[in-house]
Amino acid sequence: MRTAFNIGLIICLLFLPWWLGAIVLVAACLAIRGFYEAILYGILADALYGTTLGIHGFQYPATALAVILVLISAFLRDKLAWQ
Amino acid sequence: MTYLRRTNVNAKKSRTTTILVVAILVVLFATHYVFPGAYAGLFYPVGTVFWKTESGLFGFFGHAGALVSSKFSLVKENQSLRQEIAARDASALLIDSLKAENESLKNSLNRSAAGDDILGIVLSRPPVSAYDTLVIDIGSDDGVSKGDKVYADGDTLIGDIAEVYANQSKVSLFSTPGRTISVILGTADVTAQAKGRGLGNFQLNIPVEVGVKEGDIIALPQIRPHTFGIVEKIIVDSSDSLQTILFKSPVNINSLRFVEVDRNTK
Repeated sequence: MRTAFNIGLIICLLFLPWWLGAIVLVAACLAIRGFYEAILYGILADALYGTTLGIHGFQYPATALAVILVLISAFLRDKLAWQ
Repeated sequence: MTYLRRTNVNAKKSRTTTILVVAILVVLFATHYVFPGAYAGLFYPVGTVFWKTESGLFGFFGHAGALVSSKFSLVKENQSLRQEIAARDASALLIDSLKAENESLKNSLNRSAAGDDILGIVLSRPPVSAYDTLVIDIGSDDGVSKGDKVYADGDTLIGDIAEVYANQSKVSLFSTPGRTISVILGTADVTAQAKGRGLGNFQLNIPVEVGVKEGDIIALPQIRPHTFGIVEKIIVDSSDSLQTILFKSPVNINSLRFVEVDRNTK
């Protein structure tokens, strides 16, 4: 499943709308324990599409959001349980 | 009650792996922080192959619907398009003559508005990019340099070159959220600071006394004739001395396939 998510995320990063990639990323973080690749995809998104102007002046929004997502998903996985 | 003691070998191993992964990610981010163009320079040559393939596939599937359209509807559409072209031809001739006159007047004053345009194929555009940027297939090998102005549909100014690689460039659109730019309001000739809102949309605040109406042209202070935006909506609050003008670029950023880079401007 990890490989499938990774392939899906690479496709999202290159071809599909960013919000679809974000949804897949959230799903991957919740479904897989320790999905640290999320941060790598954040760094890649910033590197491929971001500029020094950033969004509202912040240059690394995707990296920051990925880090927050990984931390929140780790917390939620500890607190919640599902089949 | 007897409990089995948990082994901590797995936990230790897991902690070591986590630390290692986090360290690798920190190194990767640090590399991006210190050398902002490193990853893009590495991935663009590979990405270009996929993006060009995607354009071809999109072109095929995007037009697949036309294959099943009825001939009658196609004939009707063809007729209406011909009529539209004929109507526009007359105004296009007038625009051409006015442009020539404008250029000759500038030349007589030792100025030139002529650009040195080069066509670029858009490899990636919003909404794939969440940053209001485009990736195009021309770079420093084609004479493109940082700061060059980027036009769409010939005369619509949309952005400038932010990063240049050998065969690709990154275009930063003027509408990038948070980016401010000085604009001139067409008929009023008033200069104001417009703020980007993403996808070719802008917002600016000017005093209520300034006469602006919907459909007015917005331009940038530069010698080359161009269109920058068209006023879409004016919001006036009776309790506020400022009015909010919402305007947008006349081109649809989401469907851009080609852009022109003016290598002559800075």
